[in-house]
Amino acid sequence: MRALVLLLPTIWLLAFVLVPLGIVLVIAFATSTAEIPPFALGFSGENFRQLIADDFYFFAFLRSLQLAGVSSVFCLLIGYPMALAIARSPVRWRGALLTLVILPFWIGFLLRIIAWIGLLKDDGWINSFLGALGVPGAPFRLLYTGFAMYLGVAYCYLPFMFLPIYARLEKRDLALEEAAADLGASPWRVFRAVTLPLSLPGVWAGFLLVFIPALGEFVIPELLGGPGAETLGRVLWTEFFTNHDWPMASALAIFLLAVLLLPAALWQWWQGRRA
Amino acid sequence: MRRCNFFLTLLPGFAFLYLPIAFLLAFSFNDSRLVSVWTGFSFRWYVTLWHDAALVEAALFSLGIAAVSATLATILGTAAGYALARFGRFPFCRGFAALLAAPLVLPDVITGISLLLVFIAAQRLIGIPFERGAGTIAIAHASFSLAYVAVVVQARLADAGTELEEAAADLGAPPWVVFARITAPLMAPALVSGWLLAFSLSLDDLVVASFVSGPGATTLPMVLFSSVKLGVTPEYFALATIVLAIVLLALVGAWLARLGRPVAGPGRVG
Amino acid sequence: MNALLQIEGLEKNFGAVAALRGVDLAVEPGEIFVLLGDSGSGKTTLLRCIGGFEQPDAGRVFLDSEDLAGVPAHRRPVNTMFQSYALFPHMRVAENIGFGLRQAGLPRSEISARVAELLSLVRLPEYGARWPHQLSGGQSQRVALARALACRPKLLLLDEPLAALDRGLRVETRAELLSLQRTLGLTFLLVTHDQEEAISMATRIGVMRDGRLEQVGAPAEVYERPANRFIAEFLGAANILPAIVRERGAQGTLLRLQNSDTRVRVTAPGPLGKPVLLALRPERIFLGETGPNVLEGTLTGTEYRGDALELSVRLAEGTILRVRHPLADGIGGALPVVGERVKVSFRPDAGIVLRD
Repeated sequence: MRALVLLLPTIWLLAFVLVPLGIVLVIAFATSTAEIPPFALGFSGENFRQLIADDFYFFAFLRSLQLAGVSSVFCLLIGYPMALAIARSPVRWRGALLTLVILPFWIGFLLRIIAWIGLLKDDGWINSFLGALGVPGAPFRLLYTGFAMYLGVAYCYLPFMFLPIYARLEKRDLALEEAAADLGASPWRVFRAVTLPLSLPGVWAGFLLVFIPALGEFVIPELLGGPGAETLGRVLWTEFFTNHDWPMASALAIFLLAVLLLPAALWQWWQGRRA
Repeated sequence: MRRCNFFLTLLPGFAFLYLPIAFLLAFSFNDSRLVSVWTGFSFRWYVTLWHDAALVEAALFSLGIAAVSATLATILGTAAGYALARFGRFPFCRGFAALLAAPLVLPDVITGISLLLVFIAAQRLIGIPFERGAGTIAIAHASFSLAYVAVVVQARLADAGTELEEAAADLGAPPWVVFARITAPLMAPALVSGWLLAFSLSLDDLVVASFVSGPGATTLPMVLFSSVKLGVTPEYFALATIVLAIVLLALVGAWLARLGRPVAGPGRVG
Repeated sequence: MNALLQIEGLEKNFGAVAALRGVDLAVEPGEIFVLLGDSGSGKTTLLRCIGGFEQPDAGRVFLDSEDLAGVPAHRRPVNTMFQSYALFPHMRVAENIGFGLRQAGLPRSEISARVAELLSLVRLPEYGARWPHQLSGGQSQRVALARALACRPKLLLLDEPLAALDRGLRVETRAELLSLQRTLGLTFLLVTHDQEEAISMATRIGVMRDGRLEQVGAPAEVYERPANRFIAEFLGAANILPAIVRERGAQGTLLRLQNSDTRVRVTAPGPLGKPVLLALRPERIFLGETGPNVLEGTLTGTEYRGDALELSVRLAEGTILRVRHPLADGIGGALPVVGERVKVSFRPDAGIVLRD
């Protein structure tokens, strides 16, 4: 009976998650050809050799790390205070406030990035607004910069940082904070000594949920970053669609996967330790 | 003083969140093509949108795929979520949970390339004709959405606890009756929000669809992506405003529906 | 066997934790059997094994001589009243109560009649159309009870039925449960951690600790002749004084209290020459030299309780004795003062002799 319930999702997961990743691994060792599909199966370590040897990929990796890291921090700085404020708000407001936070998410991320393009470009709204105010130095180069990318990632991934932190803060025991205050601690100390440590698991979860996908992010660097912002996601795309080098793209995917598994594995290990 | 603090911490966050939204809303009605200056109120971009055959066709195509993949994802995700919440430690449950969670965290470029390769392999090696188009996109979307549905369903079931189901069994209800009369109504809100989540994830996806689609199968995000590279026109703002309006309507509708019910739950079950 | 419920050697482990370590139990028809114990004692696990929600690792459960092994919960003629009531939130009260009857396949008309009957039995006659979230705690409990009784189970299992109620309601509900049980001639197996509840409701009590049934007996027996120190201190309060048995004879047992040279005589028997524990309940000790056994000490605390005086007396060797002196004639006269030297006494039949 139980087996029946598990059968369908298990078959699906095996066929469309496990096997595909296995195939990517296989193709990563193939060689690029001009046929259809553009690869010949074999065991060639050439792609991985190129990955390691060519500086280009190394810098792309660094840029990805930078993007993921800075954006995650941005996300945290914006998301944590919001989560804290809402978790402390009167209960009857929380539903409405939460809805307000999640609402922009439902518009879809492409359209929101389009909005940011309109805002940030050289002749965009922000620059014309600053220009109208007479700010010296306007128009500023805002679009096609690292700043635009961090903004875009932080904006689109905010719910993933916000929700785990909020879930953690909402469950906290008010009594602990009150006890601390009762013992003479200032609001800042109460926060530092009681609230913050208790919310940390939520912070780590949020960090992981933003950092890991952001490492492989393609669209935002493509649309908001300049031509120099070649992150791993963009490189993979280019290798696949422009160069038709599927084996190389696969090798990149495997590399990215390996890099991602590390924090995920660390997370699992740390979770296991806490239990 | 506390009230003041409260607004101070929330205001910048909400300003950040809603600046682009307000911008989209306002400039969708701007007469000029430029986003730097407001020249007058006009519906012209909505008209342009209406006449944009390629965009409208892609939108309908995306909606269809979203509905199919959301339904598929809900069926699979519910089974998975139910198993994780109620089956205790079944053999390979950790592997199952890991496979389930993978699409949640993996970057979509990896999901995209892996799924395309599996479709090709299936075609070559086993002969399953995965014609790349609507079908493959729907399957791909269902694959990553099902994880979200499973999480929502599992959370709901874990939250509700097994007591109600035990009480039903205690009173003589065999397992299938327990599922139909007790568990299903209990899960219903999770199923609805899971379906909606899967639907919006499908509508929103660009990368995976780009990898697994074929000739003639262009989704709305794909159309948007290729045109945006040419330049941003207020036509897209109009599109965004329409989407926003639909979402707001749905929210109001859900809120009104909740007011009408006698109990904060699945409602009357016959 | 004529016991309604017979349990033999029941064992249950949850991973490394042994919840039940070989429990034997027999519940007679028409009695209220109370399983008393702390959390972790295994009482709830035992209840769940009987209800069919847990499968025991070893041992057998017989209901009316029928072995329940392999019988799933929904086919056992046993019903449970859950601690949190577990009323179905998406069904009205009448549907909740009638749920079991619908599963049994009874016709609509019969179900409505029986539901109405049950509602008036639990004194909620017009509540059929209400939703569970509209009920108070006490009302929810009565609906849960009605629902559990609907199918006329041979045995009713109650999981901490009074725990969620506040004090006043508890006493009232206790009386209602007892009267219902008597009128309908039901057999109850009740689980609780509240010893006051257990003593007042039970026909027989089974005290559980660490997965084992430590003692089974009528409340009076378990209270006045506890099998060991744990039970003596769990049910009511007890002063424990280490002693050695000096003499045994027709006049009872002579004990010499350790750490002092005081001799006391009790009626309960004890092994000659061996160290034992003398347990004295506070209410069996009096202020004054009334009984044959007298202990001297200094008063370290007094608490006026209205109906009694609770005193702490420090004996010569340092043991603090708790004494509960009833004020049947009111307080009359002055309260004894802390620091005063006092004499307390107890009768021979008040002494409980324990091995450990």
